[in-house]
Amino acid sequence: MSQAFKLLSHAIWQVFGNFTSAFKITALPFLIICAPIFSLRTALKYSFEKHRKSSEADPFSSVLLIKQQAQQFAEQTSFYLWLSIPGILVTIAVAFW
Amino acid sequence: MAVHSWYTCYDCCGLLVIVAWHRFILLEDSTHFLLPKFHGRQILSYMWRVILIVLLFIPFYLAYFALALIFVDVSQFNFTALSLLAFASTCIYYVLLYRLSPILPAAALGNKLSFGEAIKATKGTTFSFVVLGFSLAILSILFSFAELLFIHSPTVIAIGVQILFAWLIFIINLSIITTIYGHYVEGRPLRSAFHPCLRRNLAPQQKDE
Repeated sequence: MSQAFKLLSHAIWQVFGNFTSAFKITALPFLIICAPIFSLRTALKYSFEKHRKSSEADPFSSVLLIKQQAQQFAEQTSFYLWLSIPGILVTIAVAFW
Repeated sequence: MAVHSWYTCYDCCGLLVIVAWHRFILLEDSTHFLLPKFHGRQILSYMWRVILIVLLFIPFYLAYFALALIFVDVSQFNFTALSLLAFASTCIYYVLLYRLSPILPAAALGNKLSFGEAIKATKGTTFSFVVLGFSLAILSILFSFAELLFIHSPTVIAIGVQILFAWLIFIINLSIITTIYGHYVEGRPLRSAFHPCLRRNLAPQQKDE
């Protein structure tokens, strides 16, 4: 049993003992590669959805729907973009540190 | 298609990160400016080993579902019997997973380690790996509870906390696999988390235990 806790504590310390490197190696690539792609994907998805909705049925209900989606999209996109910017800044800072 | 390409991108990024982390801990492979160094052959080898492990687990899952169906039929939804089956299968799952796991860091380092060699290297660790598996499960549950504390916070903070905890669990699991390889295959010593001198995994020539 103690061996299991030794393994676990060693692994946890491996992460927190090298926290800067852990962040640089594992979190930053996701922020740099995935965050902009996710934003782009959301933007494309939204524009397709908007196009589909606008060419369909009742114009009054779809206007409201598009407005809601636009708000959601703006929230998501700005969140992921803002998330990627500090990530990039932190990397640059860490790289020169 | 967009969803598939998103997951492909996410997986590729994940493999790049995983291989880089194993190499950093075991070889002290230096980090690079913005992204870790791309080790194409090791990444492909790692992906292949993951596929092999998944294939190996398919019969296990089939057996589990067959047994569960039989249990349900025989015990008429007896909660205790089903819980015992779930507990036993989880134990077997943890032991199998952790005993086979050294082949993954080996692939990241470009070394060849067969399933048999991995099983042989981790002989006598069954109980430890069961405890380890359940400890990690408890840690994940604790993190989930911590996430719940932020449920009424603004969406950005709630999502940020979720991402942070998901990342922590991901990296701790990755470090567990790296530690198992380092300790059982390469014979590196294990140190207590509270040891003041521990900055990173010690190289084999620095062994003092």
